[in-house]
Parts: sequence; structure tokens; C-alpha cells
Amino acid sequence: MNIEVKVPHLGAGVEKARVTFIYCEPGDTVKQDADLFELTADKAAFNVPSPCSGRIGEVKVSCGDTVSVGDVICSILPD
Amino acid sequence: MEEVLRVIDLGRTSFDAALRVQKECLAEAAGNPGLHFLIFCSHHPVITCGTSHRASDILADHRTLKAMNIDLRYVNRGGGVSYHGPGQITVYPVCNLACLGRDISRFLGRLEECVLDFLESFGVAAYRREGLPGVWTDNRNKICSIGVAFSRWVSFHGLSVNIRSADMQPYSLIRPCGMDIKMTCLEEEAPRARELAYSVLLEEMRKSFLKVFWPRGIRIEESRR
Repeated sequence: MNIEVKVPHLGAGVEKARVTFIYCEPGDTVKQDADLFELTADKAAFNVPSPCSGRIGEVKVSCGDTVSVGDVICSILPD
Repeated sequence: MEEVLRVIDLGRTSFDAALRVQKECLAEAAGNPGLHFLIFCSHHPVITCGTSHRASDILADHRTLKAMNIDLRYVNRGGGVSYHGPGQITVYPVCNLACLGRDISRFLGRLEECVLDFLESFGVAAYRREGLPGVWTDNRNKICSIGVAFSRWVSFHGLSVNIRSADMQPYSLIRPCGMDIKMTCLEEEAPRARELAYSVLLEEMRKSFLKVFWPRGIRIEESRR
């Protein structure tokens, strides 16, 4: 069953972030904690880690998109 | 869990070498929630472009930068264009937020607080501006730039505080953080800082970090790289 990767809670008052880099593509094999997406909020770039090892399913965002906390950004089929 | 802070003074070093050290520290800290690093250094002249930079914020062409021996690097920290040079104190806190609270805005706020405390020890009144990370001495004069990144909830990159007035000219080659502002330095704000050695200034900065991040104390290990 696919696991949804969501924009994590980044801190008080940080509701939105911009996708500034995407490290993965659909079909990529990733390890747990690998960087999947770089989000930028304020003056911080935050790399969203993979919650598990597995294979990337759908990537739901593009570079430049603005995302909110809780938005699903990709899915992973765990090993 | 006992937390440990490893302090590293790289002295004058290149941006690339300092980034390599940060990544080594990050790999260690990511596997150990109680481990943090404070890396102090100053850089050979370099302009860095963060994730929010615009090409138009660099006002000189590559040939000019090369003639002035100023490197250009595109980096994955937050923020726009910044300058690093020998007249600054640069601090790269590689901190595991598992222990410090997983809150990037709080972390940024603490970095600003460290610099405010450091400046206060020289009698400089500085402050924050809402929505404009960094430390300012008034509405147009900025003294410290901040730009950080997080991987696996471990921070890297960090902050630079301008110290020496002789190293401010390269700021005319950029729009710092994408704004039309003036960068100031400690020597302009507190002339007595001219008499102080880099090691003295570094010690003050270190005290400020310990006071703000670890007010109840932490085991410190000096580390060499």
C-alpha cells in the first residue's frame, strides 16, 4: 500500500513553502531518510526526508509550486 | 539523553572546504540526535546564491568577479544573494532539531538572538525586522545575514556577521538578499572592535550561542578538521 508523503509541520507560523528542488522522479528507488524535496520558507531550505525505503510513485508537485503544511507531495510504495 | 556540542574553528578557509566539513558533521549528527556542531570560520571572498536568488541581484559580470578573485557559488540554503569574506565571522551551526525542537522559524529566531546578544556585548543596539530574517542596526543597515538549510532535521549553512570595515566593498557588487540596503559592520557600529583580535570576537560569539541555545549547559568537545 502506498504511503503518502506530506509537507511536514515546519514550525510556528510557517504555513506555506515553495518547492525549490525535487530530488526524486517516479520509479526511483529511495532509502529511508533520503532527501526527496527541497522546500524553501523564510530563509530556510528544508529537505523533506523519505519516511521509508521504497519506490517513488506519483510526484504531485513541480519546482516553483507553493505548498501548504499537510499537502501530499508524492507517494511511495514501501519495500 | 546527554547532548554534546563539538566546536570547530576552521580559521580562514574556502567556502567549498567549509561546506564539505558541514556535510561530514551533518552525516554524523543525523545519526545521533544529541550531537551538535558549531563551525566557526571566515571565508576567502565568495558570493553565494541561495534558493531565492535572482540573477539580477548580482551586479557584476563573471569576468569582473574573477578579476577581483571573488568566487561564485550556487547553494541550497534559503535566502538570496550574499557575500562572504575575510572580514566576517561566519558560523555554521549543524544542530539536530530532534533535541532543539522541530521548528525552523524558532531556530532562525534563535540564530538572530545569538547575534543580537553578541552585538550587545559591544554596546551595539540591533534588532530584527518582521519578515526579513537577519539582524539590522536600523531600517536600512543590515549587519548579519542568515540563510540555513535542513536535511533530516539537521541544520547546515548559517550566518555571517560583518566585522571589519575594510572588507565591505564587495557588497557593492550585489543586492544583498535581493534588497537595496546598506550593509554595515561591527567596526562601523562600535569602533573599539578595531582593537580586538578575531579570537576574542569568536569567543564572544561562542558565549552567545551557548547562552541562547544551551542555557542549562552542554558538554563541549573541541574538534579539529
